[in-house]
Amino acid sequence: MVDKDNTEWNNIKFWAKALEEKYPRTDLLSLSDMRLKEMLSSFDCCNRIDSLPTDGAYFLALKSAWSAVRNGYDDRNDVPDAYI
Amino acid sequence: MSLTNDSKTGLFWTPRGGNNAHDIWASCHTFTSISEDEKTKEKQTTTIIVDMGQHEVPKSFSTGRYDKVVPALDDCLNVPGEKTPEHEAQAIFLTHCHSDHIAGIYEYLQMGVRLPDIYASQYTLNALKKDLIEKNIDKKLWPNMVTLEAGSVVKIGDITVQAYPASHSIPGCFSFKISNKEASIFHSGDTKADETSFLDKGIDISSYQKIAKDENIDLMTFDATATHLKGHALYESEIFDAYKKLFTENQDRQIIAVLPAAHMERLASVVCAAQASGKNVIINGGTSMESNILALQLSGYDLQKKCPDIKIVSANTDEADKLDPEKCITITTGLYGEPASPFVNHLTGGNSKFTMTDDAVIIAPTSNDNNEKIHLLLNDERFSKLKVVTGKENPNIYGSGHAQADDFIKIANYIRPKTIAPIHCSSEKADQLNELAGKNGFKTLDSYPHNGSTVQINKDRCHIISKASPHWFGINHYLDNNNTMKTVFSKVEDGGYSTQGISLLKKRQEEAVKKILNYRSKKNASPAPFTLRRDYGR
Repeated sequence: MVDKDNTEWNNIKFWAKALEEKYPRTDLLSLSDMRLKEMLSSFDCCNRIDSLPTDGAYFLALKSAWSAVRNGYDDRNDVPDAYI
Repeated sequence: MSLTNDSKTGLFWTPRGGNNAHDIWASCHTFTSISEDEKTKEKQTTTIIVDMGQHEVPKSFSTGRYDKVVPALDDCLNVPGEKTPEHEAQAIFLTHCHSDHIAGIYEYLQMGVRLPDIYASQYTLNALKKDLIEKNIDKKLWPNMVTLEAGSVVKIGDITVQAYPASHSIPGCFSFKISNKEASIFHSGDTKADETSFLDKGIDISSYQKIAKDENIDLMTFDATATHLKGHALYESEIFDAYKKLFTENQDRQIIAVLPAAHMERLASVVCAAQASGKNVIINGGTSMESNILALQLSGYDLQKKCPDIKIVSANTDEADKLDPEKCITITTGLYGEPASPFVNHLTGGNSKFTMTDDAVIIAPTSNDNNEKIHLLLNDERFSKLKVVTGKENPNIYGSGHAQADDFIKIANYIRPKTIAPIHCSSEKADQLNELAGKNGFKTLDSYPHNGSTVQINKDRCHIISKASPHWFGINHYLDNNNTMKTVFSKVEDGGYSTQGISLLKKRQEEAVKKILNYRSKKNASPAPFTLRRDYGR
């Protein structure tokens, strides 16, 4: 069930979880931005919020968030990258 | 030091972060041109910012009171609650997208600061935008972003900036030539002297030769992170050769290549070596590595197109399940023993899905760095059949993204700057680079220009004109009653983080000791033991 209070597009963690629930066993990382747009548009609440961002960086952020949902953790801040 | 209308004309450089006493965090520099109109005699001031990093271990700064720590730029940015600056910075240029170079941007935006235009490569801007989205920063607050290519020339007021390709551990890195009518600076950013990238093109020697031929660089600020090490940072082509040899020698065993999650140059070299050995690649590096690979794709760096003869697939997918792991290279993370790495999780008995055969070959390019832990985890009877290759036995698999001594000499000899100044290093490493530069016939500044120092650059001389102790903004974020993220910040003294701060603090402590002893002698008090604070705020 999608909570209407959380349905701003920039709440990417929320959308990553929603996509994982609705499309289990789908590898979102391999999908095109267009396909992701279609999948997001399939949620009923989409009609009530502003148009979906079109910037590729948005879908990059969404895929990264979904990767953390699928893996069960987000290790992106584990190691400083200054010395590499 | 704040440069004002009363300052002399010229080109000035002030390191704000990164030139620290003991580490390299929070890279940030300002460059200011002050010129005088020939007719009206009015002065024009132009300031640009190059990189806006943050301290990556804020808990080690100023007794750990802050979630985030960034260089204080309130003398050139309009920061709420601080005095309005006389001259605001007109542009921000980014050398690359590592967090110690760009993550201050998120903090300044959350502090309510409107930032000027940001100039950077497409890769850097994509990483920046992704982080702005993830941090839920309102798009209305985003600064305008302008894509730079290698060779791009941008004029900001009196300052001209030209982008040169740099070679580091990720694509889209730049060095910048920053000039006004009076002088020129070559600011290296994070770089090494590698022309053999499998993602970009590496450094461009011909462009350096052109600089030396056409223009004199008065000052080169150079990445001194690793210039204390002899030799050169291994080129990606050398790394490729080393991995290809190991892949070929171990054709019949599963090979697990452990890499730093953000080292995309290395990942590309290893994937290309896999193709050269006829091995498919399974990526099982967790979210950090997956996210970095996605960022590559978005910026036009497609590893699958680069290596069409092999399959490159994500682990835990139907496609990966169809591949025989013994015929594949599995690329993963965990060099530092990160608990969330799928490989580390597997080694420590966790439930992450990670396929490892009993006699797999583990290639872990450790470098004897104290932070590296993977070889310790593998030193266990359960893994006795594994073959472990580390950087200790095979140094050809390890290469830093930062210049070593020979890289510096190579680049400096092509560019031929009049003076060298170290950046992105501790005081100790700065001294070592100055010594190296001197031995190779280059002039250096009188001392290390630590954070807050201002250097004037002239055709005939570069010299430090001020050694002000810098300030920082200590920042905390919290959720209010409405679950909205709030930001509070305050200006913090350097507290010993930069070189001069330490000497000032020591001086104050010595004065305090004298006062206490003087007080006791007057009062004829018994000499009770007391302890000095030794942490200098770190």
